[in-house]
Parts: sequence; structure tokens; C-alpha cells
Amino acid sequence: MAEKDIGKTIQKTLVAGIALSTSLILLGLAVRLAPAWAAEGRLLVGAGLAVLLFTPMARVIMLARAFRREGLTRYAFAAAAVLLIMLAGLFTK
Amino acid sequence: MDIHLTLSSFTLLAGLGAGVGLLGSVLGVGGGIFIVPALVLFFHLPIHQAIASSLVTMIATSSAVASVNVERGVANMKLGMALEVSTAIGGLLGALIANMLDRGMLQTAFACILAFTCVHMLAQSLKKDAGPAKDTETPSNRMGGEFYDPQQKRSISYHVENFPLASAVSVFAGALSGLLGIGGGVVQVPLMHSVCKVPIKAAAATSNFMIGVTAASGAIIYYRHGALLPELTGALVLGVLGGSILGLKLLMGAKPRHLQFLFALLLGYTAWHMFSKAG
Repeated sequence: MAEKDIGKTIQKTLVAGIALSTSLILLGLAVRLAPAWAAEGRLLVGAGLAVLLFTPMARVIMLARAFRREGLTRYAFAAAAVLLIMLAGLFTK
Repeated sequence: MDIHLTLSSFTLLAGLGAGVGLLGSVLGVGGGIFIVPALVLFFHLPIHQAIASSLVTMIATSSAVASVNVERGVANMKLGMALEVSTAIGGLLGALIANMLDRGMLQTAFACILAFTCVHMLAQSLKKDAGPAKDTETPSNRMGGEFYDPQQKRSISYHVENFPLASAVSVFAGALSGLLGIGGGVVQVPLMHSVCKVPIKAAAATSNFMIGVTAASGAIIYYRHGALLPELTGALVLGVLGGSILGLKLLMGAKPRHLQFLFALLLGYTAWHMFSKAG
């Protein structure tokens, strides 16, 4: 049953990420079509894409916490490693 | 550089995205294999930018589909997380390599994966239908899992075998994703099914679950190199997401073979076209 609960938590995280990012992108593109609001629109679209890029990270963090709570330490460590690799990407060029 | 975004170009991009998303879920392949050539050949986008956009759209579709699969318990999150260590490293390295390659080299590499997918899809379309999978029942070990298969009308539990080998090959799958902007399912699904002995449905769901992380690891590098065009990508994301959700609703798991055959030929033609334009 515990795995079912983890599934629910992960589902909520993913749905929230998708909903927030697509709303921001849609709003941004709509605003962007008015020439006077181009800069604001661009900013909103950028924010939407940032949320989308961070959604998998949020999913990894939630999964790490859930695995730790369930005593699945090895998988919690795997999740932490994945998070570190993704963060390393943010500082690599 | 970003394309000049007007209502018509926005509609065109979202429409392209929707078409790709629909095709991807109908044909059972990720959208990247169609998005990258479409952006390069029709929108004359440099291939690095096309790959960056493709990776971001894949984060969206993977997350949307995974949200359904994790709740149903089909995606194996333990196996997925463990393999993601490899695909994330691969994705990061692949993207770093891609950003060192020039346009022509990357385009040639993409033409090769297109040709491979063409052959793979042709083989799938010509294969005789074996009927619904008969998975053998094995008690699940620590990394294994259990899910309910509505077609077989029973719960299926399974082991995960040969994890170290799968983990090593997953670095390669991740690198392909970061290098070429595809999901890597073309390696990951057969790997989990044949090497780890995971039932095909769980393998497909777990592969899709992993793509979000793999693609994000690569996309971050493209973003850092300034290859991500926000508005173009935003419009594509909306389209692809809509198209793939529609495709899943329309289809519910059936795979039309004649359509696969047709698109395999199209992929072959696109491979040749990309190859000839790479020079």
C-alpha cells in the first residue's frame, strides 16, 4: 500500500508542475501577441519553461523523501545522486 | 535569435507540435524523432536549437503520461530511479558532446538514428501479432514490482534481473538522448524487457517515467549554452502536450501496423534528406 501512496504523491507533483508551466506559457504567449507587452510575455514564457525544467527535479526530491520515509535507503541515495547530477548540469558549461 | 512570433507562426508551431504528439503516441515512439527533423527541415532551425526544444517538449509529455502510470503502479519507480542515475549522467555528457560538435556532424548523427528507427519500425510493422503478452509469474524481488494488466485481467509480479548490465547500457541511452534530443526509449524499453526481464508494459511505462529526468539533464546544458529558444519551445510544448494526450485517448494501446509501415518509410526518406543536407 505504501507504494500506492508514493505513486499518488508523485502524480500530484507532476500534475502540479505541468499545470503551472503550461498556464504560464499560455498566458505568456497570449500577452506576447500584444506588441506593447512583448517583454512581459517573454518573461512569463521563460518562467513557464523554467517550471517545466524543474518539474523532474521536484519529482526526484519528492521520491527521495518518500523512499527515505519507507526505509528504502538505497533508492533514496539513488535519488539524491540524480539530483546532484542535474544540479551539476546547472553549473556546467 | 528567436523566430518572429506572430499569431500565425504560433498556430503553425502549436499545430506541428500537436501533429507530432499525436503521431508519437499513435506510433509508440517519442516525439523527438519527428520534432527535430521538422524544425530543421521546415523551420530552418539550427539543429542544436531544434534538439533543445525537443528535449523540453519531452519533459512535458513524459511527466503528463507518467502521472497516470505511477498512479496505476505500472511504472516501476524503484527501477526507474536506480537507472536514472545512469541516464542522467549520460544525458548530461551527451548534451556536452553535442555542444562541441558542429551542425553538420550533429545532423549526420541524427540521420543515423533516424535510419535506425526506420528499420526498427519496419520490423515492428511486419512482425506477426503474437497476441497479448503472456508474462510468466515470478515473485517480485526487492527491485521488482507488481501491476494489474487489464488485458490479461490479472496482477503480474516480476523480478528485475541483470541490473548492473542495464545500468551500464543506460548511460549510452542517456547519452543518445542528450546528444540527439530523443527520449532514449528505443534503447531503454528493449533493455528492460530483454535484459532485466521486466514485462513489456512495465518496461514501457518505466522508460517513459525516466525520460523526464534524462531529458531535463540534457536540456539544462542546452539552456546553459543559450540554445533554448523560449517562445518557439513554449508554443511547441503546448501543441505536443495536447496532441499526445489526444493520441492516448483515441488509441488506448492499439498499434496500427500499416501506419507504422508508412511512417517507417517517411523516416527513411527524412534520414536521407537530413544526411544530404548535413554537408
